[in-house]
Amino acid sequence: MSVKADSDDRWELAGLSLSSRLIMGTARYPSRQALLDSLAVSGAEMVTVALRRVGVGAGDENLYEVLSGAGYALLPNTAGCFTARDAVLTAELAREALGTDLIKLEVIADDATLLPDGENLLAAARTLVDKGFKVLPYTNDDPILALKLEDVGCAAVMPLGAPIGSGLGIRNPHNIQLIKSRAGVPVIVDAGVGTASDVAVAFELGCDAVLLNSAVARAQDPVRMARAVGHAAVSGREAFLAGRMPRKFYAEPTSPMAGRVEAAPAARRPPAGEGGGGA
Amino acid sequence: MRTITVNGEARAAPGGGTVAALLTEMGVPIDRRGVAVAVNGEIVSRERWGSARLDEGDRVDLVRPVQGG
Repeated sequence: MSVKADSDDRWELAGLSLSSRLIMGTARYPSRQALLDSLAVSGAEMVTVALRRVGVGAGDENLYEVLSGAGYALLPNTAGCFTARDAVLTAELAREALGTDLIKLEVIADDATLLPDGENLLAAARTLVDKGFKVLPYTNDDPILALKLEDVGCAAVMPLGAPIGSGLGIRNPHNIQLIKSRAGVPVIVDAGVGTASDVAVAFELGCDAVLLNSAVARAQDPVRMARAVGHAAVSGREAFLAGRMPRKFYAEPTSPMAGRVEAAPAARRPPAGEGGGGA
Repeated sequence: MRTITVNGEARAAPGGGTVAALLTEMGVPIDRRGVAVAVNGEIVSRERWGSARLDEGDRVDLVRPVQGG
């Protein structure tokens, strides 16, 4: 059974109304069946694909038909592009192949970190917005760059929690919160999620959605982890909407202190902040 | 014989001379979505496959979706 989001808590992404706040990558699964089962139980409605030069023999299964036939909205990416020019061409090929204006824009700086190249990302975003794309940029957890991406017309910003495939979770929650507090478009944590609690944290920080792939695909039991991240998305979002209690440095008793039994008067430390040595 | 490059590999230009003829020779169903073509770095949209001609030395990119994150 798939994880169901609260039907009253829909969100909008580039004109699409979505119920699930998870966007799932489709790479690195142990098998096609594990992929399809994981997507199904996660409750996700949108999934990512890459575009590649490949032999297109008659016997090849068409991923487009498999995924769109199963009802998923497809979000093509420009993964592996190191220049704005390559990213723009890849986006155009994706639009042509899949019939969607949505593009997850990645412009990567180098192989070792796979971190976004902010300068070229912004240039590619501007070009693609001008060409009518709904651009969802994979960006650094940089609040200033996020605002610039919004300013050039991106339909969302997708800051990383940590490098792609690292599973390190959200390394700079403060920046993610800063981005969310200033953005007028949806904020989607993309990359870095390693397990369910990372997903919950993203939502507790106020993010609108989470895009993840390896956390599920590389889990020992991907289908089970897909269910876990689906629950975490719902839990984290609910916790955010519930409004968490304030953090305090000292304890505050939950049971009443008045009227408790005391066999003998206890010597107590003075309350914090009142100093130790009396005059 | 005219030679073109398809996905980085040299190949004889198709008999019919068009993008559609190339796709048919390669066994790509041209009536289904999920495939896109660029020639020399420019998109050739599906409506133009039947008319776009391939010339000596043209570089053709033929792509389709694969599993990605």
